[in-house]
Amino acid sequence: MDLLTVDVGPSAHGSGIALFRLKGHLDAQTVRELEGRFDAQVKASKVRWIVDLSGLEYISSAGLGSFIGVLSELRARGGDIFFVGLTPKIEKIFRVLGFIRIFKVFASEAEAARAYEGL
Amino acid sequence: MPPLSLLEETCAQDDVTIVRVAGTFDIATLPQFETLLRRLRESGRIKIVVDLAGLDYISSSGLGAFLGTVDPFRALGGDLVFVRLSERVQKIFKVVGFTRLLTIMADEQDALRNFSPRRPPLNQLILSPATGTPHSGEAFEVEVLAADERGMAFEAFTGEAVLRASTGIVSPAKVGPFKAGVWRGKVVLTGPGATGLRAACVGGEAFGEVFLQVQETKQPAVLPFAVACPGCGLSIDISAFNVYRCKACEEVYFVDKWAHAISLKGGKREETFSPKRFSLSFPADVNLLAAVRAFIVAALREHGFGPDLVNDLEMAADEAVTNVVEHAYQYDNRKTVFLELSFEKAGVQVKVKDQGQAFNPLQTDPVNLDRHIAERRTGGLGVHLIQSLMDTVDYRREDGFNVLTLTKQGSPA
Repeated sequence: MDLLTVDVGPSAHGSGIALFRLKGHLDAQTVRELEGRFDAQVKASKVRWIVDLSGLEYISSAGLGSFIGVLSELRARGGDIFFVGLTPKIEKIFRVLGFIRIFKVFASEAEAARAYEGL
Repeated sequence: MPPLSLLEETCAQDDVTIVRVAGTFDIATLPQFETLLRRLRESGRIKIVVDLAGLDYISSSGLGAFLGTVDPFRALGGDLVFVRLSERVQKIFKVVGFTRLLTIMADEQDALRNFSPRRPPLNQLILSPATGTPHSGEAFEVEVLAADERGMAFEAFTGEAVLRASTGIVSPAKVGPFKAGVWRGKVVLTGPGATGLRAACVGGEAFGEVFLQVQETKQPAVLPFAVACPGCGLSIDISAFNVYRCKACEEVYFVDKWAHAISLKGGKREETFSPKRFSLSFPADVNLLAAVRAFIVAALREHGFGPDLVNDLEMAADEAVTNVVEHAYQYDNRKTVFLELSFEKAGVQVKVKDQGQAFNPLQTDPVNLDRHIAERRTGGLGVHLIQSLMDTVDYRREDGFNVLTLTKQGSPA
């Protein structure tokens, strides 16, 4: 069983939105795989992302840093990263690092998709 | 009178000759000995070990002649070293004062050491585990011998050695001090499979490795089973992991799930708090982060800490170790990371150590998140996280190690 599984596909709640579902552990080892999947979406011009972290048991600064790394590129091209499914453990880290101010967090995929439509 | 037999031998040191003596030294047989010695001397063999174990008898004329044989060798910078004297011969030599005039030693090894221009240097560590198939998580005895290239103990080594396992984790990470070149003690390996257990002197002059096949964690015993009282050996059948009082000797003991009967001293459970410490060493490899986190989580939960403290320490330790792998060791997984987890009365302490260049991670600029994003920087968050999650964070440079000490207050539930 892999330490991190990443599922990416079109969101059912909006058009042109890529939904990432992360399960497992995101650390300095597994972040490499995630970044590969990021590149694939950017190359395919999919720049509006919803990232579902509900299956994530662990996230480290390496994982968080990878989101930061791709964020300005996505925003420059009219996209963004919206997070959904934050567990209390992960929400705490977002607060500690101030990610709450930088990334938008939504209660559900539908809400996040609606937010993209409003832009 | 039995004749004299003289046997010449070479040995590990090629400038030393061994002469084994059997029989009698007296006026009849001495010329044989003198001739042999002269021949050796004339062919440049001036370092001679004379093995007197087989010497049955030495007459007074024999004694006199002995002294005469040694001086020519000493004059040339060599010597005759007499070894393995029987008690009777020793007594005789003492009475006539030879023990002050001749070089006499216990055995060949001592004589060779006497002859070597300088002691052979420390060359290797030889590991001798008590078993080649230890169980994961179960301590086993290991002897580590600091030796020269011949495998002889290098007695001058009294320092410490670092332990490392090629797969899994070994504890303790550091052993010592060595006494007369030897350390003996208990070691624990985790992770089943073939592993190379490697020891290296602190300072790196010598190392050694032994291969072990680590077995799965021993299966817990299946109830009911019989245990023996640790005090008197009286056997009882037990059907629960519990505390028992022995009917025969009043000993009070606890039986755990491995079927160990652990004596509770003096019949009273001692309620003193004993700090515990774990020491790990492992290769600097991000593929091991998950295992290190799992270890920390398990150790903290086992000790009774709640999920908040466990999560914070899991994260802080991961960040600290990741920093070492990435910055101190530049992803070189031949390097070793050291982690110490200890429980004090007030809470938990984690120390992460590395032998990279002196580098204080706390001196990097505090992270400005907006600028971080604008500049697309992905590093630097780890230290910020550690400082936010931990109560104290301290950096020190000690004995060639970077030492990052994290503490978190809290007590078990």
